[in-house]
Amino acid sequence: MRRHLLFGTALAALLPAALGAQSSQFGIRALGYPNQPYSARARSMGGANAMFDPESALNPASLGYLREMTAAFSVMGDRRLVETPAGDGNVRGMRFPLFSINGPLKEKPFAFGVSASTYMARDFAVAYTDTVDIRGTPTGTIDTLASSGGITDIRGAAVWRVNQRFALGVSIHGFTGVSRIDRHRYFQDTGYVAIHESSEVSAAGAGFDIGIIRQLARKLTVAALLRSDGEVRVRRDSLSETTYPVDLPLSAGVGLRYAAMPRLLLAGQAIWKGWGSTNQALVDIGGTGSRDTWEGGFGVEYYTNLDRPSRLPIRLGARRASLPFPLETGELPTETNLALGTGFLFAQDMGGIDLALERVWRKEAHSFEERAWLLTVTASLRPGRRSR
Amino acid sequence: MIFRTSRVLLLAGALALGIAACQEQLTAPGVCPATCPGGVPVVHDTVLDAIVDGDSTYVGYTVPGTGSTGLRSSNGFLGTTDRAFLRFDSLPAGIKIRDTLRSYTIDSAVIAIGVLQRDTLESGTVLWLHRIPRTTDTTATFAEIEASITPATVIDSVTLPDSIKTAHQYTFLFKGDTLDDIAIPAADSGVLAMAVVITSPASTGIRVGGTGSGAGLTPIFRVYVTVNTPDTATSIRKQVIARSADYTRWVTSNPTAIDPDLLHVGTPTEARAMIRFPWPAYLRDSALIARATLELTPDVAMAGLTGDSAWVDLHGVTVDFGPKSPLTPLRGTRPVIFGSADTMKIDIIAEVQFWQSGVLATPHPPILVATLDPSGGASYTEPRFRSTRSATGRPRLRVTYQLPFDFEKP
Repeated sequence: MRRHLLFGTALAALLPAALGAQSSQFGIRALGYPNQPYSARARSMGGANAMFDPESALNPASLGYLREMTAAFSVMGDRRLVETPAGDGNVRGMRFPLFSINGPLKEKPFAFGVSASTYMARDFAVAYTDTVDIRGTPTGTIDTLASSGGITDIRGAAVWRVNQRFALGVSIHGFTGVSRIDRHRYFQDTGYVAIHESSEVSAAGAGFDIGIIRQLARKLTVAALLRSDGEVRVRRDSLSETTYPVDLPLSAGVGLRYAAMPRLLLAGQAIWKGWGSTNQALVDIGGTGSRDTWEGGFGVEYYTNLDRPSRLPIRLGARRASLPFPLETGELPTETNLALGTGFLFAQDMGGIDLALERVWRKEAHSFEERAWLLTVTASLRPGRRSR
Repeated sequence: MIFRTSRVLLLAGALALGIAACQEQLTAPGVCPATCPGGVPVVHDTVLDAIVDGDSTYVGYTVPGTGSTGLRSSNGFLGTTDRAFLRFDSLPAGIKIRDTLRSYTIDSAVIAIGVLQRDTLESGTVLWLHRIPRTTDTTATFAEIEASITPATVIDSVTLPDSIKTAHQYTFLFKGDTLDDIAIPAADSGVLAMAVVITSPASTGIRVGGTGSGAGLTPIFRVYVTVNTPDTATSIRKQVIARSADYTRWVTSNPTAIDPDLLHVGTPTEARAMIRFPWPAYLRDSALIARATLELTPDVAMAGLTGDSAWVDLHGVTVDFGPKSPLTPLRGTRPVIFGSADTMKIDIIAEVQFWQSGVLATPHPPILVATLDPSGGASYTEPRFRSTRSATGRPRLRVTYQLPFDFEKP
């Protein structure tokens, strides 16, 4: 187990630069779009069971449910219609938002895990036109601003399974990442050459969290999470003069899971994040500020095969969340997800695939909207060859 | 429901491939300021006047008549009369046949003269060949050449057909009676020298091919001879002696006077105008330059031969050694519009970007050098621009730029 964890830690350290998450125009300002570190299973239930899902990197206590070492990797495809006052655009992309290796210590009430997930995604490209007066002549310009990257959350988690009904987990988070931003300006008068400049905006910080899972009754389990992400220091091109701090939020969340019937599992969760704490700092440096956010999700999982619940269960979920960084000062962007998914194990249960298909609506006031289809696939590997 | 592992793997693989095959298309329409973190870049425009007395004209980069543009020959065009002249290599005294030097008899001869450019709107232009003394050398003056141009020295002439508007080689055949026209006295040791002169109903000019004008346009003197030998083989008795020009030159009645208070470009000695500019730190270190334009004000309207073309070329220098500064390749150019006295604006960003730090290990000095194309000194176009010593119309550089974008602004 230790060897696996060491390998996983090393791999996770190599991954941040390659990780990305779904893009959104609501990730253009400030640090970007806040990713949910959810596996496909959690996403297909609207994130409702993410507090209990060991393949999601949300609640460290969820690792207490693992029976064996599990590696999981998620890939997400994104097709999106973006609506702005300047027009509409169809966008598509592919991301790798989550990777984790977790597992219990043999015959000990402890489990450990590492994960690398996208914390903030800043993958976007926008193009806009303008007319500027140069040398006394109105001259058309076409500008593009493209960013690739974001902030990656590298988590190391430890869990103490106090008893069969209670697990306590803690984790530390290292935030690191770079956004590579390119800007081009083209002039419609060909006497002017295109201007291109690029920059790397990096961010680094650290945080921690503590989470629990407690079975209150035979059918009812509750989970809770308290998290402090500290702050990140944002810096351009390694120039110390450009550095400014951004307070990352204190977060609190609670989740419930209720086995209503043998075939039916209900789950729900709510999370608050205090992004508003950095509002003034962002406004002071010319940004649009930030707002506290809420996220709520509700989902069900229906087992089509009681003998093998992991074989093609039907998962449904809904999620509603607000986003921290408005495009225009004072606004509060929101997103709503409806999700559907399933999953199965194969190769003598060594491998697993979970799928989630989501329809997402994002909106800020009446000016900016997005409608997206997200397809998430989480592949998992359990070398111990035992069913979960 | 039975699932085989192979089917499951196939399904999973296809799904992963399907997602991975999605080609990224991230660009969406943006609207400022909402989706413009860092703000909207502002375009700045500044004008840099050349450093006072940092501009000057340098001459002497060519010897008239040696360049590819050939020789000028004109009859009062633009107020000057130009005469082209040349001397062929000497004909041999005899031809060696089997170790014996044999004399020869000239059967016929051909002189070929190339005309590189003419006024395509001018009819009736006649090109004359005049014999000049064999002792004429490259230092001959206009007066010396002019003294030889009399009816008695005419070798031959041809009227330039209106139908031929491009470069063309004219041949003059001498045979029978006309052979006397090119007879070379024994005292001349086989050397033929001649001047190329034009006459025309109106003043005009042509450019005649010189030694640097390339195959088919350089002057050629070809003599067909019969060798006085008992050998009866035709290939031995009938031979051709071809001679090219020893030198080609041209002289003018009104040499261009270089005014130190103006910037000359072109001229018979291929003048260059070197202009130095101030280069402030904000442009050197951080500006993103979109356009840089040199503005030169002609002192007089541009002139030239109708149908001929001329461009003012701009170069940078890699290091400032004054007149011997090594020039960069061509960085900007602009055609000369005959009759125009408008300010000439030449985009030169290709060089100005090398004045910025971080582009080259050693940035170029902020200097521009204007030259004339065609080079070689035979163009009738001799632009004169105002300098920093002029009351108005001083050379200046207009730079359009942006300052670095505020990427870290959230």
